[in-house]
Amino acid sequence: MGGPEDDPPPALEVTVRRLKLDSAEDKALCATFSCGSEEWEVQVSDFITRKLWLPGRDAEHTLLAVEAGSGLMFGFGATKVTTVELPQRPDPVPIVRVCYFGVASAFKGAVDTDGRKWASRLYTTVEADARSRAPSPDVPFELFCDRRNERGLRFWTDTKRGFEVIGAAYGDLLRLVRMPPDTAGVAAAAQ
Amino acid sequence: MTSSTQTQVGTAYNTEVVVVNLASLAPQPGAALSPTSRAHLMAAQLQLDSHDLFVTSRSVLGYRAGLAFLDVLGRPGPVLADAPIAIEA
Repeated sequence: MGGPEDDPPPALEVTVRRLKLDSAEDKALCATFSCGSEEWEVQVSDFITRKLWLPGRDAEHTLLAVEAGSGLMFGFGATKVTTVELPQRPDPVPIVRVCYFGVASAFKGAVDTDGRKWASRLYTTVEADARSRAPSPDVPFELFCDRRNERGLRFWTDTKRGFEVIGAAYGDLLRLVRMPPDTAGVAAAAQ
Repeated sequence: MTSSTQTQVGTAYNTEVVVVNLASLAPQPGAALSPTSRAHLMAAQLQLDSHDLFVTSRSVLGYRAGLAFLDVLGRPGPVLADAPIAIEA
């Protein structure tokens, strides 16, 4: 036992800002992003390096995370509010879709000074920001994850995120949803 | 079922925060105090204001209790799974 692979990762500092499509600095930063060579990782990288910047798109709301020490891009999260049909609901409902979320290969597993995973904190930030723009704070959240992406599926279905696979989407993508808890009991509990 | 209040002091946003064990706010059959009354009591005991608190539970019970607690503190908001990162202006 022992060796460098057993050492805890060094603590980093990560900052977050809103991506601006008219910012040459943001575009140049995003152009450097890569989260891996697997097919699903290439798709995430392609989104932030190229697709997001195509003219005429209805762009997703995107947060950029930067590693403060190096100035390198740590990761990003892109969301949008849309309306979908869900098997749990009789009528179409507004939801927040997590369109893309990625952490650069170099920073996977990175932790803060308290040992908390920056990826988890970044997602919480992305979710809270998206929720603030949703019609209701209790909207469902939806995302799609490649069925071969075991690390991603573990991340999303972890109790901290709480997503559940509700079925196949298309190709190798699985559809994951997190419904809001039934808040009907809140008012009763508060009486 | 315990109704004790467990707290932990930590830091986030470079400020001191209090993490509250929301299980002590969950509905308890036969309890003398309602969840709201217990939330009021806890907030007073801890001298909390709305900026001190992050709710970290994802369970339904914790979510409900968390909403009740946030309501008491006048800060309707989401239940957060982890400490968010401040978004730069």
